[in-house]
Amino acid sequence: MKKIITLFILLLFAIVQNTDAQTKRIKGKVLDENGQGLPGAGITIKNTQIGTVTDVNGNFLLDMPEGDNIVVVQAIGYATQDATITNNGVIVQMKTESRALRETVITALGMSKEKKKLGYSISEVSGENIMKSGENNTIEALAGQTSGVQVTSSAGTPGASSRIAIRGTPNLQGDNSPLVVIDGIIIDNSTSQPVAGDYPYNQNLSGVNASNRLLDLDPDDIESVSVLKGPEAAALYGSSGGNGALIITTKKGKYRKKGEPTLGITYRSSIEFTTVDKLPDLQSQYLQGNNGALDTSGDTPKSWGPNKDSMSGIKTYNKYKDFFQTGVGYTNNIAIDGGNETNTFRLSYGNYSATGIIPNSSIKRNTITLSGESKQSNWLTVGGSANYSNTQDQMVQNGSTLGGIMLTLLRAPINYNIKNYVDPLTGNQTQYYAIYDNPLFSTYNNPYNDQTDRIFGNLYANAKISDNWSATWKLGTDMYNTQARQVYAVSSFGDDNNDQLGQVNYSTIYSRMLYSDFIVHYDKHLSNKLELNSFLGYNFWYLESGNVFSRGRDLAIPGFYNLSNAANLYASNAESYERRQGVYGDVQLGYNSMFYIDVTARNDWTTAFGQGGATSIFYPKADASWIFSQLIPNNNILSFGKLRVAYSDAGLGPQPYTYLRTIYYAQPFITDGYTNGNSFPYLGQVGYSPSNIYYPGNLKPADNEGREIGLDLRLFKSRVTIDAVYYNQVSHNNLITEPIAPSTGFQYQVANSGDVQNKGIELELGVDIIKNKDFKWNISANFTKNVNKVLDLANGVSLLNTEQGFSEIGSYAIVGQPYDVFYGTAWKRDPKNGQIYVDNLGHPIIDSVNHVIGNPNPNWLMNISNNFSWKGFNFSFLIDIRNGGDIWDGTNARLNAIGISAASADRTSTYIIKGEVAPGYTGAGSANTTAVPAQYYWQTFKGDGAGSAAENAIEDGSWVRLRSVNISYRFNFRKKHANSTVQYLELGVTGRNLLLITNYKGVDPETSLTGAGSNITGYDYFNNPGTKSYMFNLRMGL
Amino acid sequence: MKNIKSAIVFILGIGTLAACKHDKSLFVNPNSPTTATPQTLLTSAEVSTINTYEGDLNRSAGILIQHSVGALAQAEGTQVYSLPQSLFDNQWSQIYQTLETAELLKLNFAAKDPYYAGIADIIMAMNWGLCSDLWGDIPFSHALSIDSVKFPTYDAQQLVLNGLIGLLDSGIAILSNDSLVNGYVPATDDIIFGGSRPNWVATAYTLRARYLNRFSNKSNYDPATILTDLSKGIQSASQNCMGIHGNSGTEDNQWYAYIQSRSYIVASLPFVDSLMLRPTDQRLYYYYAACDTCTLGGVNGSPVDNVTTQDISLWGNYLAAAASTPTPIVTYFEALFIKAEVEARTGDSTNAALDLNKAIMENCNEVTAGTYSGTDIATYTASTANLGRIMYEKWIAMFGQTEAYDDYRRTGLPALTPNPQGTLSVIPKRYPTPDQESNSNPNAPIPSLISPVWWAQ
Repeated sequence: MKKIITLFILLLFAIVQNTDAQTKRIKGKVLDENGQGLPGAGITIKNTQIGTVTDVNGNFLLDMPEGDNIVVVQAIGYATQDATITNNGVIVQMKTESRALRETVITALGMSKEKKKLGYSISEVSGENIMKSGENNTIEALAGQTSGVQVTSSAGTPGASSRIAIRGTPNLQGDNSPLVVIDGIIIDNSTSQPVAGDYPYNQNLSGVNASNRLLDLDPDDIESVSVLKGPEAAALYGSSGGNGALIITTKKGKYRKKGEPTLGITYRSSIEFTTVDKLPDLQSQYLQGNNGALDTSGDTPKSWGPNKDSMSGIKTYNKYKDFFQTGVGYTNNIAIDGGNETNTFRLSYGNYSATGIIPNSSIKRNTITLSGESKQSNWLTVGGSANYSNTQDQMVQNGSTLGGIMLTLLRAPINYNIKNYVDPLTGNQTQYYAIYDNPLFSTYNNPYNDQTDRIFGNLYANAKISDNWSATWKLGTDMYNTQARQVYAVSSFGDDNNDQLGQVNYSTIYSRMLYSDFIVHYDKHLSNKLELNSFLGYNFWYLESGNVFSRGRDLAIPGFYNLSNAANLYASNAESYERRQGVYGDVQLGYNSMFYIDVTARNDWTTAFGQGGATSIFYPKADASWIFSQLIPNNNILSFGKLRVAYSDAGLGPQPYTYLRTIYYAQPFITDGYTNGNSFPYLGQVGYSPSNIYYPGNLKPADNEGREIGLDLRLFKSRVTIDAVYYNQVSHNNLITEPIAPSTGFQYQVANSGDVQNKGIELELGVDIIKNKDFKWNISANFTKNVNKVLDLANGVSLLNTEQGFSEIGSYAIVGQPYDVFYGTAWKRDPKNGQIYVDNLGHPIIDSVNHVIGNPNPNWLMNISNNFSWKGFNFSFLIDIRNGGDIWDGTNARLNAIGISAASADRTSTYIIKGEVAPGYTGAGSANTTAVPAQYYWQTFKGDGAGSAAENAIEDGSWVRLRSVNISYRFNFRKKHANSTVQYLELGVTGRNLLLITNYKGVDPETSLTGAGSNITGYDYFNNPGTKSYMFNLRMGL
Repeated sequence: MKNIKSAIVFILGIGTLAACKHDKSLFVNPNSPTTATPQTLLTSAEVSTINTYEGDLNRSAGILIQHSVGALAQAEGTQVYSLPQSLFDNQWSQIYQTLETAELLKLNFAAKDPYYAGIADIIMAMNWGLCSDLWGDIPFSHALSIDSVKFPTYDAQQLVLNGLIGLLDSGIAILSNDSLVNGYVPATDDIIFGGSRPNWVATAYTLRARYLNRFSNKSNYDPATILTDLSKGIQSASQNCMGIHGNSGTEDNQWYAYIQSRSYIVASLPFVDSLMLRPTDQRLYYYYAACDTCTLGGVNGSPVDNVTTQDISLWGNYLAAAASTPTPIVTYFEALFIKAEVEARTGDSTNAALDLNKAIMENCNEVTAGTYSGTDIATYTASTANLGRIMYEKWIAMFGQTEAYDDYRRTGLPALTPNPQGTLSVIPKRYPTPDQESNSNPNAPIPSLISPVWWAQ
C-alpha cells in the first residue's frame, strides 16, 4: 500500500516535473542606484503578461518558460530596462530616470515630496528662470512663469510693489495675497504706506508706489519657488492657506564627496539700462488757453488755446524728452559655498543699485545671507540660516495729488518749459497753473525716502530616530523696521493742505514674527504594495506689527526738514498683535505605486478670535491620485499618466479684533467732505466718540473651499508634458464692513457676508522638440482662465463698496458679477436699442443711477517660453499675453478734457454724438443730428468734465508682450583644463519688456494706482509709467 | 560641545518666546479704547454739533433762502433745487453719530456725573431739532438701539418735537439742581460754555421757546408758555450759545475753511438789494466782503437765476473773518425776534415793536462787532411792527443760520421769488432722504421735496 502511494506521488511529481520542465524557476534581485535591494519593482517576461514583483529585499522568483530569457524590469523613478536571465539568476542594477518622473517638489511646511504622489496643483519655478526675468522684485519675476497666477506691477519706478493673485480673489475686503514662505518660515510680504491716524480717505489713490516687502529678498539667492495653488495645496497652513502659498527655497551649500574641491565661488554682475516703455500720446499743436484764446497767465491748465501756427514768437517744448531719463542699474552678487561630507555652508553678498526713469528716484539694496548645515551624527542633522537686508528707496508722488509727477507733467501745455522750475530770486517753484506743481520741482523737492532693515532666518534640527520614525524642529523669525520720510517743499502744492507751506512726515513701520514647527514623521512600507507616509505636527506663530507716524506742517525755514521747524505738529500710532497655534496631521497611503490617497487635518487656535470667542477652527483636506499609466504596458507614447482630485477648506487669514462684540471709541473725523473739518485736540481738549463701526460679535473667520481635478501626462518618452486642471473654489463667511442705516447711531457693521466663487482651468504644456547631448530646444506654454463671481452678499444686500475709489467710479462687489467690477456713472440709454439719450443741444444725458461699466479681471492669461541651447550657447524668450482686464483710464479722460491729448487735437470741426433724442425733448426718438463744439465733445463726452460719464473712460487692457529675451554663452573652462581655477564664465544679454502690443491708450497697461496693498485693481489715474530695459550680464564660477 | 550647542539653541528658542506679548492687546484692539471719559465724549459731541450747525446743511439752507447763491459744483445744483439723495449723507450720519455719543455719555456717566448728562440732554435736543426741522419725520424712538433695532422706523415730526422738548426739560431740571453730587464737573471740556450751568439753562429755555414756536400754525400753539420760557432764557449777548473756534488747524470755523478751499457759494443779489434799501445799514459789509479788485467796487451779489461769479463778493467778517471766528447757534437777538413774533401774533403790537427794535439793534451790534448800533433802522412802531415786517427783519438778521430756512417754510415770509431756472417750481420744503439711510433701511420713506414738513403745513 505504501509503495503504491509513493509511486503515485512520484508519478504526480513526474507529471508536475514534466510540466515544469517547460519552465525554469529563476531567482533574481533588483538593486537601486545605491546598490540596495529595490522593493516593488516589476519583472515581466518580455512580450508576455507573466510577471512578478520584488519583495522588500528586492528579491524575486519567476518561472520562466524554456526559450525565454529576457525580462523587462521596471520601477517608478528608474529607467525601464531589459535583463537577460542566466542559469544563475540575474542581478539587475537599476538606473535612476533622469527626467521628471522622480522629481521632488517642496510643498507646504517645506517638505520635499515626490511630485507623482501629490493630488493637488503645484508648479515649480526654478531660480534660473527667475534670474532670466531680469527682475529684482521676486514677485514680479514670477510674472508669466506658471499658470494660475496673475502678477501686476504698480509701476516701473524703482521699488514699486507687485501684486500677485493665485486663482483669483476670494476675499471681499480682507487679504487676497498668498502666503510667502522662505525655507519653511512664513515671512511678511505686506505693502504698507505710512498713513496718518487722521487721514480719512483712501491713501492708495495717491502717494508713492510703496514696496511689497519681498523686495528685500535677493532673487540671486533663490534656488526655486514652489507655487501652491489654492487651499488644496496650502491646506496645511490652516487659517492662512486659503490663498495658496509661494514656497521659496534659498540656495544652500552642497555636500561634497572626499576628493572633490570643498569650496565654490560664484559671481554675478549685471548692468541694466531702463527707459520708459509707453506714454500717452499728446498733441503738439495747440497752446495753453481756453475757448481758442491764449492764456499763459497761470489761470488755466487747459490747452484749448490757439493753434501754434497762428501765433508767432511762441516756443514749444518736448516735455517727455525734458523729463524722463534712462535709468541705470547695477546688480552684483558673490556667493561662496563650501562643503564636505558632513558639513555645508553658503555665504553670499548681493548689491543692487539703480536709478529710475524719473529723475531723483532710485533704489539701493544690500543683502547678506549665511546658511549652513551639519550632520552631527548619522541620525542628527542641524542647520540654520540668517539673512540681513537693507533696502533704501527714493520715490516720487503718483496719482491724485497736486504734487503728482505724471499729473503735473502730462497736463503741462506745449508752450511751458518744465526745466525752468525755480524762480532764482525766491527759490520758489514756477508753475504753468496756479495750483499744480512743476513736475521737475516736485521730483527734486518732494522726495520720499525710506530705509528698511530686515533680518530673517531659522534654526532647525532633523533627527532620524529609526527606520520609520523621524522628527523635525524648526524655529524662525522675520523682523523688519522701515523708517520713512516724506517732504513737501515750501511753495509746493503737494502737501496735505495744498497750501505751499511745506510739510514733513516721519514714520516708522515695524513687524516681528516668530514661527516654529515641530513635526514627527512615521514612514513605513506596510506591505509589498502598501506604503504609509504620515506626520503629526505643532505650529506656533506670533505676529506683532505697528507704526508710529509724525507730521509737521507749516515750515518756517524752507528746505529744513526737522520737526522742530514746523508750526503745526501731529503724531499718531497703531499696533497689532496676534498669536496662533495649530496642530496638524497628514496620512498618505500609496498602493502599488499607483494609487495614492492623502488626508490632512489642521486645527488652529488664534487670539484674533478674542477672549471667549470661537475656540478653534478646523481645516481638512483630502486628495487622491491614480497613476493609470501603470496599467499600460511600457510604450513609447505614454510614459506617465496621472489623474488626481483634491478637496480642501482653508482659512483666508483671521483679522484680529473683529470677531467679538465690542464698542470701540475713536477720535472722529468731523467733516462733510468740503473742507478738512474739525478734529482733536480741539482747543486743547481730546475728544472721543463711539467708532462708527459696530462689532456685533459672533463672527466667524473667512475660509476658501476648493475642489480640483487634474490630469498629468508625460508623452513620447517624457518629451511632452501636459498638465491640466479644472478647479472650483468658493469662499465663505467673508468678513466685510458693510454700511448700515446711520439712524442706528453707527454707519458700518462688521458682518460675515458673501460667498465668492473662483473657478477656472489651468493648462501647462511643455515640449522638448530637440533633446540630445549638445542641442536642446524646449517650448513651454501656460494658459490660465479664472472666472470670478460674487455669489451672494448677506442680508439681501446686492451691492457693496469694497474700497473707497473716486466719486464717479468705484469698485463694488455685486451679486452675480465678478469681484470688484467697476460701478460708476453711465449714459442714460434707450432700453429698447441701447442708444444714448441726447437732449436738444446734442448733449448726452447722464443716468441718475450708476451702472456696472467694466470688469478689471482678465478673461485669460497665456505665456509661451522658448528655450534653445547648443553647447554653451543659450537663447530664450518669454511671451506674455493677457486677454481682457478693463482699465479705467482716468488719465486719458482728463487729458481729453483739458485738450492736451493727441486725440483732442482734432478740434477744428464740430461733432455729432451718436444717439437718440430723449423723451420729453423735441424730436424724441429720432437720431441725434445736433452737433456740439469740439471743446464740449472732448471735455464732456470723451473727457471727465461736468456732465461726463465714467463709462467712456473704460478701456480694454489686453496686451501681448515680449516679457524677457535672453542670449548667453557659457565658456566651460574646466571641461578642457581640469585644473582651471575658473570653472565657467557666462556672458549674456537680457532684454526686459522690449515689445508691447496693446490698444490701451495710457501708460503700460500692467499698472495699478492702488498697488499691492489694496484689493482693488484697474485704476489708472496719472500712474507712473512702466519700463523696458537692456541688461548685460556676466556670471562666473570658481 | 554638542550639549553646549543644543543648549544654545534651546535658550534662543525660549528667549525669543519670552519676547512675545502676553497681555490683552492680543485680544482687544490696542489702538481704540473700549471706555471713554465724560470729558472726551462731551467735547466730541459739542464739536460735532457745532460743525453740523455750520456745515453744508447750513450753507445749502442759505442758498435756498437766498442769503447766498450757489455758483459751482454741488452748490450749483442746489441753486436750481436739484438735491440728489447723496447730497447730505455725511451730515445725516454725523447727526446720528453725535446723538449716539451723547446717548452713551448719559448711559455710562449719568449716575456719577449728572451735570454731564444734563448738558448731553440739551445737545441731543439741538441735534434732534435740526434733523427734524430739515427732514420732517425721522427715526427717533427706535433710533440709536443697534443691538435690537437694525432698521429703525420713522416717527412723526410732532412726536420728535415733543420728545426733544422733554429732553430740554430734563436738562434744565438737572442743571438747575445745585445739590446734585458729581464726580466730575464740566469745565474746559465744555467747549461752548466752559461748564457754566446758568448759561446752559438759559440756552435750553430759549430753545424751548424756539421749538414751541414751531406750533404757530397748529391749534395747540401756546404763546404764554413761550413768553415765560423766553423770560428764563438768554437775556443778553454774553449768554449767546456760540460755536467756539480756534487757530490751531483742528478748530477751524467752517465758513472760513470753506472759502479757503472752495468758492462755490457767493453773495446773493436779492439779499444785497434788501440791505441796500437802507444804505446806512452796515451789516451788509460784515455779511459779505467788499470786492477790492472788482471794477464795480463795494459789495456785489449774483442774481439768483443767471448766476455769475465775476466780481461777486464772498462771505465777510461776521462769519468768516478768521479760523477762530465764533458762529451763532442760539442768540439773544433770535430770542427777541421770537418774542416780537409771539407778541405780534397775540395782538400785543406795542411790545412787538419794542422787542423788534431791540432785536434789530442787538443783531446789528452782534454782526458788526459793536461798530454799528442800528438805531437808525430800528424805528418800528406799534402800527408798523406787523408779522410780515418782523419776519422780514428776522430774515435779514438770521444770515448764516438754518433757522431762517425754517422760519420761511413755517410762515411763508418773507415772500421770496423761487429761482425761475429751478427744477422745482417752489423753494424745496424739505431735504432729500439720504441714500445711505434709504439703501440700508427699508423703513425710510422718500417724500417729495415739495411736500411741506408737519409744522409748515
